[in-house]
Amino acid sequence: MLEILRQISALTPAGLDVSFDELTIERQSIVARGHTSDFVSADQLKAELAKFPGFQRVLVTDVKTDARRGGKTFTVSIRIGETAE
Amino acid sequence: MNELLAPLRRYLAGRSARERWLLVAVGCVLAFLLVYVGVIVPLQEGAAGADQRVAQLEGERTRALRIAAEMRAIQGELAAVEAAIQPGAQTNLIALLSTLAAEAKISQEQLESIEPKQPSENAKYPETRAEVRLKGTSLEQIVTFLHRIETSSSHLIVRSLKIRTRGESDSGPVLDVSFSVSSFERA
Repeated sequence: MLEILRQISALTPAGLDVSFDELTIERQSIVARGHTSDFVSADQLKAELAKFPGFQRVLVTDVKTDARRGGKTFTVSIRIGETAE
Repeated sequence: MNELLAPLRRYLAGRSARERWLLVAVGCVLAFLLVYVGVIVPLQEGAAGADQRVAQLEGERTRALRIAAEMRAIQGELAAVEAAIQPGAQTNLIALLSTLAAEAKISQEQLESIEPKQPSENAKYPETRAEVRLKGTSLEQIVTFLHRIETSSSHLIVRSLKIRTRGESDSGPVLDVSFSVSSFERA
């Protein structure tokens, strides 16, 4: 579990304007709800997370405009492979 | 045999030298075609089929070797886990988690609850499971707590981790966390 957190932290570029509101890690999946300045950053996050072989399928969905904070909210769904644990 | 070839000899004797050479050439071409279609083509098809079968078997061999390596790795992990699980050891999971939380500098206020949960049915490795709920913790506290759990000598396994940001403080995000922890014994 800690290794998965470490991978997410390491793969998320320091300069990327992304914050996570909620993170759920199950045995075979990860779902993270986050906030970012624009869609491009969410897409970049997806590309960075997909570089880890243990994350077999990375999807960004539910990209919506955040009326309260500005920017976009999004959901990242990851299927965990054998090498992630 | 000579009687059978006699008509052919008579026929060839009646032909000119040029016609005889032409007939020999046609015969050679027909003989070559016969050998090619009857022998070479089937051999080439057989060789191509054999090459395809070799490639298929090579792929299967590579896959089998990979599976064997994975099985050895899993067996090694299983042996390590079995060695860590003491037969008949009765881990007081809730007390242990309380101690580990204190070591991670999680206060009693932040430790909202540790509740026993219904474990899975496993006759060989009886399980004890507990649900931990934390509120208002820092990321550092959570990471320290998870590290102590995962490196505990009682071989605990963390499942279903859920982290929710409830706000920001000077030192970083304030987080609410819940997860379940399992410990195993050997029957």
